[in-house]
Amino acid sequence: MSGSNAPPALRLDRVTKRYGSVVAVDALMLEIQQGEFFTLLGPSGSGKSTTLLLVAGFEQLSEGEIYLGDRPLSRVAAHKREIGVVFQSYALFPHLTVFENVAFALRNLRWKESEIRVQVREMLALVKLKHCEERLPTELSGGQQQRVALARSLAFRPSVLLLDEPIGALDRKLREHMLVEFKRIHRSLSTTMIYVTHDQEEALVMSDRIGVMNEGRLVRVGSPRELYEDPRDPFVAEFLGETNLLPGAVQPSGRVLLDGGSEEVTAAEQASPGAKVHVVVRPEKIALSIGAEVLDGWNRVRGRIEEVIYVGEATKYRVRTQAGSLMRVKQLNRQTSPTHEVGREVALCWHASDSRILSVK
Amino acid sequence: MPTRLRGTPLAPLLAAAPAVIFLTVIFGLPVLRVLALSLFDPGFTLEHYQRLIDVPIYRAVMLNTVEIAAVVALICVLLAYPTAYMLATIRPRLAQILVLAVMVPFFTSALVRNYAWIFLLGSHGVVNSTLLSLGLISEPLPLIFNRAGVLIGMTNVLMPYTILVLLSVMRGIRHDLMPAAQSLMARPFTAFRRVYLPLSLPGVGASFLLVFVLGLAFFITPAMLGGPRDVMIANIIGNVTTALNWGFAAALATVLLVVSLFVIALTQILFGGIGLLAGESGTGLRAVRVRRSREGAVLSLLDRLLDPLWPLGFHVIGGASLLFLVIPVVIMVPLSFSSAAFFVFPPPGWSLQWYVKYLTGAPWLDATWHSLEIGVLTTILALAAAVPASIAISRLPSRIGMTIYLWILAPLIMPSIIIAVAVFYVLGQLNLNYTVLGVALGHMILAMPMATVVLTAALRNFDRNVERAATSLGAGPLRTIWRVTLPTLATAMFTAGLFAFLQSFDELLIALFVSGINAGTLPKKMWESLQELDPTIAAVSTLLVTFSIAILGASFLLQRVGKRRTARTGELGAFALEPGAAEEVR
Repeated sequence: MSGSNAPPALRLDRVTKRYGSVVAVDALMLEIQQGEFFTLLGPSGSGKSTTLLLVAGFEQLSEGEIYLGDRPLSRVAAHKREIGVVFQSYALFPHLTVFENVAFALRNLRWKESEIRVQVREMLALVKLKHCEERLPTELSGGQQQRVALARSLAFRPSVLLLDEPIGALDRKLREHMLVEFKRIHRSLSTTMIYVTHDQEEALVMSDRIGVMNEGRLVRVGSPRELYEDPRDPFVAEFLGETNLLPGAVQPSGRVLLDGGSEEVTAAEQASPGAKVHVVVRPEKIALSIGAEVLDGWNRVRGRIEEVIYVGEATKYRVRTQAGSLMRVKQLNRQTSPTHEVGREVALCWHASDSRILSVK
Repeated sequence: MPTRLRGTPLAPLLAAAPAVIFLTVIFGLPVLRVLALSLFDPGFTLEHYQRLIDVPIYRAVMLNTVEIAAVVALICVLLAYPTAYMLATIRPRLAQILVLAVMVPFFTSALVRNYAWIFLLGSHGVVNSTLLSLGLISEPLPLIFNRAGVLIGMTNVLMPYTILVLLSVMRGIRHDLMPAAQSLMARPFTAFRRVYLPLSLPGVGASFLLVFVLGLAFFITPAMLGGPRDVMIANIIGNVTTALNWGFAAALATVLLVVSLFVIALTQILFGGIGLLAGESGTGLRAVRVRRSREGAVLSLLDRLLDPLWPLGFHVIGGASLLFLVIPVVIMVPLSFSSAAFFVFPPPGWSLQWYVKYLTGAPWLDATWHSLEIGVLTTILALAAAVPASIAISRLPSRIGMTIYLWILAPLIMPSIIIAVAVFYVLGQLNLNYTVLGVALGHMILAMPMATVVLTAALRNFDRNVERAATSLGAGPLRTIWRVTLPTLATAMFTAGLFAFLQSFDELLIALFVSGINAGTLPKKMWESLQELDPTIAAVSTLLVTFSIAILGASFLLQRVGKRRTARTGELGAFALEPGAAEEVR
């Protein structure tokens, strides 16, 4: 993102949270740059929400330190951190009008009435809710409530905004729409945003970078493309999109002999001979072939189709390989793409550069 | 054949009939008849109302009544708010324990607690003895048989209601609002002032008016703890009725009832909170709406001053209030084992003599036996009417069902002195005064609504599809009710029965009028012992408190077990036993 000598907007240094003997967040190290849209992605219970609570100041650190710019936060009360939070449940104040909800922080900061009016209107214009000033939250739709929550947390111009699964409660159409809105607002304000979600699709669409969390640890940080194309970790590979993990052993030739069979495949990178590895290949990288020809640089594994699932834009296949493992294949439905039936013998073909090797720990 | 009945609302109407007819005959018509006597005794006359206005003492009593009820309601709210806030915001585990300090007094009879205040505050009482022996005072302080005594006693009886109403309102406030306010740069106290307080304000108003109405009708406490200047309207009604001056008693009762109904209507209009009486959660309260909240310099100063004390100040008040509620319940225990022949504190030695005296004293044992008999009879009759009525309410079209439900609940908001007078009147007509059956019929007026509240709440959570499943498996309607509905209601029925029994067992006013000697109950015997105050009272009180705790504990355990098996019960007050699961979300 921004230049390497600018201080990060937020820095987490060995951030740890324990509840009794349970470690919810385990020595998290992370730097988030000014203006970055960063997503913490993980299954429920992975510690991503706890991390957010720690940053917001609603939970106390067990160990480590959080820096906002250069300022250590562990001894700063939640209401003095100047970090905005959008709650999953919106947490709008039901007794206050939309205007007063958005003005809430400004009144705590004792802004002048005239300045409050200008700022609130500007924020409501930003989220396209100009006409709703005098309504109560209960008189708004879910999507509108979400926008008020966003305007409210941005009104006091926090340098960092935390969003805790902010669109989890909306229906699918509205979710997509709000994602676009978040992006637009992020671009126009360049506020640093930290977004927590368990939805990998949201994460991929929104983020400059994604941090994948599992069991309290940060497993991998990178851009959406890096994480998807080169997961480097079985958990990341499985959590981000569908994938095939094929166990095997590296041969002296550098090729990988798949377990339970005699087939060898090549991946984009090399591993030391003798190592136990997983070969990772995404379902959409695989082509199904009924011919016998072998193309140079392509891998080829034989199998039998067990299941065909039509999902609209694509058809998904489950193929049992000769080695006995079940592989997923996804093919876009174009007029020219052939469809196959259950029971058919096929070859699964993918280019070596489309698969990676993960070493088995 | 029943299948045909099923399609029409006739079957549920028949099921509700016993409860409705009973209440109409034993409660509704007699109350109307008695109230009518204020205008027709003997012929049409306004003389009784004239007397109310003309005689200064009656005017004074009415003003007294309003003043005492208002002051008590104010004290209750001021103390209960911090207490409820504490209970609603501390760790759920701790809250669950502390809430017992509200529930146990709530289920202990006012009679027992008032006796405790006599022992505590009397001139030889615990407080004065302690202060004297510490040399802080040279003469006993007049803490009782005056206004202070009445206020202390009534606050003690009524504060649990305030706490429970406020608690249910506060549990309806979402847990993410306070963190949200803090993330918007509000100090913790400011967050409370700007968010929590306005959201809980309807509960404050509703609980104030509720306690005010209940306070207006107080009889036992002013009689036991007050002086000659603290007589309240119910006491006068009692005296006048005993003198069989029906017309004047009716005029007083009418005034009391009109004022009560007016305040209840006001509560409903302002806050929409009648559901609170039935132990429903506070979400039905009308929301406050703030258009513009200007934050002036005064508020800013207030925030600065109070924030350092927050929330410690509330916790101190809350802790003290809980102590205030519990002390009269537990103080009887050491006193009951005293070896002294009269009341002294601290007891010079220990003995079981007062328990022996209770267990060997024929009057005490007779009274206990009557109470048990009446309690069991009341419970059986109340359940017999309430179970079919509740099932009927749950399946009748909601307007008819609601009307029946409100009619059954009506006695709960009726001042009990008026019920007592009406029961005394109707039992006289039926020649049932001074009989066990008569007292049980009287107690049923209050016990049946209690049971109906518990059962209706349980039925609201009952999944009708379970019955539909039974029907689809070939069970007829009666068989379905017998084999599916009633078994799932078992827990709630047991709880309802316990509450009905306790209601009867602790009841004093009706018993005072209609039980006489042949059916004199334990509370009546205790009441009559006021003149010959000795530690036997403490022994009986200790037994009664233990009994209440046992019943409360049983229903609580049952609820726990029941929750795993069947639908929930939401009986009056018991909703406070479960600090909301939402607490976990934080």
